[in-house]
Parts: sequence; structure tokens; C-alpha cells
Amino acid sequence: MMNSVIEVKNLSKVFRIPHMRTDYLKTYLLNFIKARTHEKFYALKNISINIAKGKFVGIIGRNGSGKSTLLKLIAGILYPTSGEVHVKDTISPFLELGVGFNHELSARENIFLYCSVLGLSKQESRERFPKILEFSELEHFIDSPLKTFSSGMQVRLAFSVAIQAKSPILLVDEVLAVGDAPFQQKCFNVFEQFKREGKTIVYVSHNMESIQRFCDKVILLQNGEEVVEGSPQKIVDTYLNSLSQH
Amino acid sequence: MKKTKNNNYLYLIQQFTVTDFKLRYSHSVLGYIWSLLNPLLMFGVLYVVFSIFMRFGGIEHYQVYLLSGILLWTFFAETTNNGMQSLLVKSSLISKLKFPRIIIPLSSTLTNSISLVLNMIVLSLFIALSRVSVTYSAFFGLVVLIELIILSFGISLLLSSLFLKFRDLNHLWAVVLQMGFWATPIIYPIDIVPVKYHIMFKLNPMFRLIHNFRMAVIYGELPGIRNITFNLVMVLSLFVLGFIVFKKRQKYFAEWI
Repeated sequence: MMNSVIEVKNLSKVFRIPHMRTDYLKTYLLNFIKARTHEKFYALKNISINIAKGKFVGIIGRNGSGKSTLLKLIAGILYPTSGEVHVKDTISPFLELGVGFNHELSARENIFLYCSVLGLSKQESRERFPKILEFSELEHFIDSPLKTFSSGMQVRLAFSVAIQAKSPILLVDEVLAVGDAPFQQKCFNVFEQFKREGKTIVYVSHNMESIQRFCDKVILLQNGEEVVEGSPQKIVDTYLNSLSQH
Repeated sequence: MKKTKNNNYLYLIQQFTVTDFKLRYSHSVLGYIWSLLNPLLMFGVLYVVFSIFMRFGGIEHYQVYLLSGILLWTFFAETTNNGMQSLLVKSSLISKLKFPRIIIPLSSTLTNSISLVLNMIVLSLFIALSRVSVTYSAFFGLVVLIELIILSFGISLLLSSLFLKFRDLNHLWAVVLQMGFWATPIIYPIDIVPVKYHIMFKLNPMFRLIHNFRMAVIYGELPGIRNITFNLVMVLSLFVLGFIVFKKRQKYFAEWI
């Protein structure tokens, strides 16, 4: 096999959905005598994937097909029910932009907070600060509290910080859907650059245009199973056909 | 490689601690003063009731006795309360990012420790104004404070990991704290309790810590080596208990949130 940085073998993830909520001590104690029943829900079933170093891999599928669960398992946020995930490098998940932002703090404070959340050190954060500011084009608002920002501005700020993460693997969950056209163009340029730098990117999106534009390979998930993988053109067609049949 | 990773986590801890502290007090006019005003007002009320009406005033240096008890207890109560809810407050981070989960209750404990340090400065002002003759044994008070922080951190670990699964735990804990406040000699001296009940107090880690703190700081007496060892073992075993429970459950935090 080629030089793969992410290896997923026979991976399954089961979520247990209890028939009765036992999130309270009270119900837990009351139900102690009764047998508790729950349904097993397979979010992912027996998935095997290899992702080679430096590739831009897209994951597509309908809502609830297990895309985000797969990313979270690769990121190590969730643990597999069975099967294995091997990742041979450090990962920067920006599964969602602006996680860790606090609306009461100023943009400046949020930049440093977000840097620390993404695993940068104090010194690295300081060094990157001017670049972040420049990319976000929000210099004028740097000391205003984040709650005064429009959602577009917040995403811009978040994206500007997130791209400073230094890991060679990036997990990207549907982040390009926001921002105005010029900013989106800017984001695409960043992705082009990441590609040139040889970063490995796993990209989840419903935006077929960007999938076709960037990805070397696309993986299609259906109900947590049936992996079809192949060239972007082919898989996107398969996916769109399957949609029109419903 | 490993080293930079640890350094970065230190930065994350620092960021969480400082921003939480800022946030807690940035939206009130009096700011940090609130974290002091609260125990001070409580002190005022209790002092009036118990010193004037009920005459515990017979205890030597009753003001300092009372205030030190209240400050230590308040720290424990607030730290464990905030610690318990800390994971839930930062739930979006837990479900989206990978980092050592223990950083969250740890920085919550540290945030409260900043207030504790500031409160201790106020306590020293009180001591300076009263006629307490402070001796070198007061340094032992620092040891007690460190034990208190470790104890509160351990309990926070235990409670925070259980709270994700049992969302009504906070009600139960509020009752425990309420009972603890009266079951611990904070406002009254242990002497008024009949001797046959003393064993219950001696097993209460908060009583042991508050008692040692007062003896060292106010009355210039160091506890015996047995007492010190016992406290250390008690504090550390409660911490280890919390740590083990947290460690075992943290895999599933992202799912329970």
C-alpha cells in the first residue's frame, strides 16, 4: 500500500439510544430494578479507508450518513466501538469554525484563546497574530467584543485563526459554506496553498462544486456503510443519481 | 516534540484560567469585589448572630476564627460547584476538539484559586488589625491551602465526570454543601459538640483542614506529625479517587454531552 497517514480498518461506531432517559440519578435509581432497554444505532458500520499523505480527500453523503462521526473518530474525539483508527501524524481538526470563541471577550482575546485551543503555544500565537489580523481584514474591530460582530465576520475571524494551525493533517467539516464571494475565494486560495505544501486534508461538504474542484479522491457514505470511493467526477455523479431516485 | 506539546497545554490552561476569571467579574461594576463581598457579608451576618446573640464571642479572636472558616469553606463550595459544571459549560469544545479533558476542571479550580489568594490577602489584613500574634507556624497555613486546593480539585474531577451522566447531581451536591456548612465547625467551636460525636468530625476532611489552618495561623500551633500524615493521606486518596473515575469515564464525555 502507498504511504498512508490515516488508516481506518473495519471501523464501527454504535450509539446506544436508551428507550428511557437515565440522565438523572432519580430515573437511574428507579430503573435500577427494571432491566434498561436501549436500541443500538450503527452510525458507522465496518468502514475501511486509507488516506495517503498529501491527498485531498472529500467525504460526501446525505445528512446522517456518518460523515461527521467518521471525522470525529479520526480526530480521536470519539472512540470506536470496534475496529481501528491509525493516524500517523498530528491532526488539526477544525470540525467547526469558532469553537471556543467567547462572545463577551474582544476579538483580540478570542484570537489568543482560539490559538491556544488549536494547540499553539504562547510564542507561536504572538508570532502569528499579525498574519491572522491581516487575513481577517478586521483590524478596525480588534478590540470590540465578539458579540458585536456579524456572523460572517465571526467566521472570517475563526477561519483566519484556524488556518494557522500547523499540523500536517487537517479535518475540515463544511466550513466553506459561509462568507461572501471574495472571502470564499480567499479560502480556496488557502486550500490550494495547503495542497501545494503537501498537507493531507479530509474535507466533508455538501458543496459538490468545491468537492470536484479540490479533491483527489471522494468517498461516499450511505447510512454509515457502503463505501464507494473513486474519482470526484464519478462519485459525485453516483451520489447525485442516488439523490434523484428518492 | 513531546515537550512543545506540554508547553502548549500549559498555554491552554493559562488561557482558560485567565479568561474564565475575566469573564466571571467583567460584567459587574464591583468586579472581583463580589467574590470577596459574598463571604464578607456572610461573615457580617453570622458574626452578629453568633457573637452578639449566641455568644460564641468567647472564642479567642472570634472574628478571624469565623472569617478564616468562611473563606476556606466558600472556596471549597464554589470550586466543587464550578468544577462539577465545568465540563458541561465547555461542552462544544469537548465534542469538537481533542485535548486532555482534565484541563477543563483543572483550570476551573485554578480560576477559583486566584480568588482564594486574593481573599487570603484580605484575611491577612484582618489579622493585622486584630491582636493575633502571628508566629512562623503561620507558614503551615500555606500547606493547608495547597491541600485544600488538591482536595477541591479531586472532588471536582469526581463530580464533573458524574454530572455529565446524572444531570440532577447539582441538586444533591447543593444539599451536601448545605449540610456540610453546618456539620463543619465553621461558626461554632468543636468544644460545644459532645465528645461522643467527635469521631464524625475527625473524619470530615474540611474540618481537619480548617482546624489546622486556624491553629497554625491564629493560635501559633503546629499539628502533630500523625495529624499531618493523616490529612495528607485523606486528601490524596480523595484526589486519586476523583482522578481514577475521571480517567475511566473521559473516553465517553463527547458522547454524553
